[in-house]
Amino acid sequence: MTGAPTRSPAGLLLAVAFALALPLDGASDYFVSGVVVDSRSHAPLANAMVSLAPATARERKLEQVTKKDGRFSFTVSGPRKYSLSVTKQGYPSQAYKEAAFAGVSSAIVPRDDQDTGHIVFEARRGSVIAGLVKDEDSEPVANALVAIFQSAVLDGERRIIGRGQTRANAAGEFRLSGLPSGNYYVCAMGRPWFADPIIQLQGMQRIAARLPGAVRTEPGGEHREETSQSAPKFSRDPGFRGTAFSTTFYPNGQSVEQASLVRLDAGGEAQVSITLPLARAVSVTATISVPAETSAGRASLYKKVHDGYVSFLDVWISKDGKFHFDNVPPGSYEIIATSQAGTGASSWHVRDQVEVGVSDIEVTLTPQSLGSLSGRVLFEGERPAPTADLFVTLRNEEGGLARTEVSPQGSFSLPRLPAGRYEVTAGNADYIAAYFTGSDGERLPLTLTIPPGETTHRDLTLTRAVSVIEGTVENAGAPQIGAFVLLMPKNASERWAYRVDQTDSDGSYRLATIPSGDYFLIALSDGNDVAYRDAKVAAILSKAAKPVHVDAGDRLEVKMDVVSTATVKLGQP
Amino acid sequence: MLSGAVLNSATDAGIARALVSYNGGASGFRFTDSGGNFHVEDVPCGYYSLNVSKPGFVSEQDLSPPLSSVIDSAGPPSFDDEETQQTARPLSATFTGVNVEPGSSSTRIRLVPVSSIAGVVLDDNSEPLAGAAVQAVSVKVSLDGRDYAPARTARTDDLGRYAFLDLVPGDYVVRLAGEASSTRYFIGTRLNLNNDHRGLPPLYYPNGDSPASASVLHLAPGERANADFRGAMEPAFDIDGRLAGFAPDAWTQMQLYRDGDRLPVGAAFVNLSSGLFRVIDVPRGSYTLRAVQYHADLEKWLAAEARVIVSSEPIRNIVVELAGGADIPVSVSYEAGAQPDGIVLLMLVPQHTPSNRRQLSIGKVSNARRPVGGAPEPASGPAQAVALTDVIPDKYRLNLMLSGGGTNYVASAKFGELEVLHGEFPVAGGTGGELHVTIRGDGASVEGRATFQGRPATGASVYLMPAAAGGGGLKVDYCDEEGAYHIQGVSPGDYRIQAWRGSPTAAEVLSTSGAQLTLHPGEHRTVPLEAASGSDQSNPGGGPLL
Repeated sequence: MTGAPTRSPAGLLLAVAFALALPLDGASDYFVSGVVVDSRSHAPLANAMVSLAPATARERKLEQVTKKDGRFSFTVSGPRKYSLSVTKQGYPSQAYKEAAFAGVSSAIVPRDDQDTGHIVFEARRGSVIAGLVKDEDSEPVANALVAIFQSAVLDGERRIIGRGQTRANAAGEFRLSGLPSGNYYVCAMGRPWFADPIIQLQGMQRIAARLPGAVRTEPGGEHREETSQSAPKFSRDPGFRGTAFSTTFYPNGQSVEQASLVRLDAGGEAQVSITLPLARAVSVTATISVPAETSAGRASLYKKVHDGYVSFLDVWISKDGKFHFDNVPPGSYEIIATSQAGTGASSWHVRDQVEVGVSDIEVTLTPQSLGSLSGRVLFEGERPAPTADLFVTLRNEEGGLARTEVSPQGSFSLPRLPAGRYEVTAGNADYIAAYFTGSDGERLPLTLTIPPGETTHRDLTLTRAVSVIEGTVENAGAPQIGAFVLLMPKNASERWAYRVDQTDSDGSYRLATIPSGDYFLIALSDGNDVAYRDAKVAAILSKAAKPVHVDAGDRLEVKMDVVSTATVKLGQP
Repeated sequence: MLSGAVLNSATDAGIARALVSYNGGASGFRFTDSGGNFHVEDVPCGYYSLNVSKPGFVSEQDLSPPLSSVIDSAGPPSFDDEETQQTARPLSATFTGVNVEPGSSSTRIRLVPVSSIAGVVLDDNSEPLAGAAVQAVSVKVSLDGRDYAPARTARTDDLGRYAFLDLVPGDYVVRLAGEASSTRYFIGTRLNLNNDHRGLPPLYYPNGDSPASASVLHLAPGERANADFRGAMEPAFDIDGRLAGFAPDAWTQMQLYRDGDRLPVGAAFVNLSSGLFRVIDVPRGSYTLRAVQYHADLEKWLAAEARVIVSSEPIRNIVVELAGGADIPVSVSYEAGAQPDGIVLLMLVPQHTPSNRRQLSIGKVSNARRPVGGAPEPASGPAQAVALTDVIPDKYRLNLMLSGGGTNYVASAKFGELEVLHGEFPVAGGTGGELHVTIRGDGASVEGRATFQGRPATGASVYLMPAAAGGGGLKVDYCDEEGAYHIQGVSPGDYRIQAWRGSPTAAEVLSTSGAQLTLHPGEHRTVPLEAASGSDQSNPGGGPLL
């Protein structure tokens, strides 16, 4: 889990302008004041910490704690953009009109022609999914693992996103709080409390059955419970149904396709009970077939939930490459095994689907060595003083992402890359990746193939992308706050060229680091649930949008009227 | 027919769906029915051992643990709060035996229901306090009086509620420990957390600042106790800085320990590329900030500890220097006629990273006796150059065992200038230091015969215990057919001695004064004993407990 700060692109991009403006202002004071209310009840919220900080200098923040009336009032010297946020027990820390799906929020811009003295901050309480995991005898399943997934549009794509997992307590109860509102899948898995003693008993029974006089079980064959004359008779409970629970998706599906969505309103609480059925379990024995010298590693058996995974079982793999998962209930799984070594010929990585039925299975996995990429970051023109907050991201054809932060010395390293073809993006608020630099200084495209078992060295050149589009969004002549501003490349395959912002309290927006090319520009009243990377949605949006051509170094000013998201009829996916 | 009933010892009601496994002339398992009854048809007559378990119930032995478990818990318990939350408690099993004969009646097995403590934690605004660590601390008798052993750690939910649902009945104190420990990773240089700069100093229920000032909750089997807290939030400050000697992208954990406290607190954020970190909302106090990394590619641990005193402002830009493990050379000297026989087994048990124990055995086996615990037989021949290897910075407890050494005893163990035979000692990064063990040959011995009601106490256990904590350690022997016992290699000092038939509980052993004796170097004493009767007679012949 990362504690990545949500960032407002609008805020970060203003760094340079703000530094220049600083010595000049301070002449006039403005009020930024208002009230914090709960978004559902509209009741004022006491004991909320309200903080106001220049959008470009968050560390210089002013803080106040609200009293019973929920009011706050700051005096600032404007005009400049301020980020307003609220923290309170039970409420996730949130910025003013923050849109979780894109990490954008609306800044407050105090100015002579703006009213920033009557702000209503509608704080969204964290939502809760709580419930009970029990077995078919209505007894609690202690320590059951409960994982939740949200179906949401994130970064323009509808995805299933893992939103957390927890363990049920001894009474089978679980509770996941602080969740964003939306639609969720809930999945539970567990291990019956009696599994271990019964597996142990059965194991002892098998050993006893192999004592002299016993009929040997054939290798790889079913365990026949034939007893020798000397071994005591073994008897199971007549009602015995198995030692594993089938992983279950709410309400009672065996896979996410059979699951029902749980709807969660902002600040709402959903009660979800799941019954885990018992199943006969089998063992999955696997062999990693790696030549010569190999590293030890680790394998996980996963339940796949669209793009997300829930780890079902974990094992260590010794250097002989053999491992097994015990007590696995029937179902579809994915095995992902990775060596401890992160790169080189002894490293390996493999993922494979396994179908577990009613009898023990053996699988042989043929992995590939892992590759890695490392290099330096170069700059076209002058090197900026700090290389902070600069990231390099690799994306393979299956959509797998690897991302790293550039070190303060300007180098980067991405180990553990499965071999394959990758597309590279990099940059920060001011720079974007331009090209790879070959050993003779030649320019290479921003795609590369990572061979297995090798470390690829490439230097990456960044360019200061000064193309900017800024302006205001209006609704019937008045500035529209909180509009979702979207810049889409005409060629949707240019995945890195999308830019988004949300309008500030004066209706202003700013899109920066834009590569040259042809675009569509649109301001929507509500950006929530807009899957703009979906081809059908993009086609509808482009009809309502403004075509824009951007050349290197352009600084365009575009004023727009807001388009109601409801009227463009994007259709419900 | 093998049949019986499994009953709740507090209510005498039957326990449904308990697991009963049996082993004897036949073997297998049954679940009890809704009335708590089970039966197996067609089993040969004879003796069967039964093993009964059910979540929410413990065995009667769990209520009065044998002395061995007290000795074990005297060491540093594991405080890994994530583990205590995520790992199910091992199922308690009740063992019993039954003779199946024609016409034999059904057996009754009683299980003890667990107890629970639950409550709500509110802040001084009467609002629920989420994410606070609450700890149930078991109060036990020990060699030095009351011993506080953390039993469970829970975290309050968004409504401020916590619960310990599966406590072994007994005495507990509950404490609110502060912000539950967590380590999260962040990227970039900006960490906009909007934390509220308030923190929670430790608080013992209902309103004390130490275990001694806490109310002891006496939990009867099945009892549910309530312990609500109102935490007074204090101004709190952030600690930020940088990890030096840092392995990028390796697993990293940062924890803050208040002086005198073994429960980690503090929400830490670490950047795995740059090593920048911040621990937020730390109330005033003196702390040890601890960082641990595990580098999987190199299979290497790194650790560091830094002293931090938080008073009235944030602590900025501290540098915490991580170091790999040091090798600690170990030497042994033999004095006062000690023969270098037998094996010295050394084990370093770390306080914070229990999986990272370090072990070493020195010496050779001079007779057929093997060291306790099945340590590997060391190479014979001249003394080896020996060291405890890859010891990362932490606080350690030294476990020293001597076997096959006759009258030898461990007189001292010095790490540098520090005596480390008892208690914990710190090992700093890189510095190492040497560990020197002195073994003396002038150990005292105690022998004699124990009787029980005028007859030899065959199989009874004899406990020779130091009169005060920190003495020479507990020694146990078992009486032979004639009731004779012999304990040698005893460190000089004050002791008490008592023989027991059956397994005494810790409380029984600790509360019985027994015979007092002072042993001088090289002294041989003969002490006749009358065995007392331990409460657990399931193993009346006695036999090894430890």
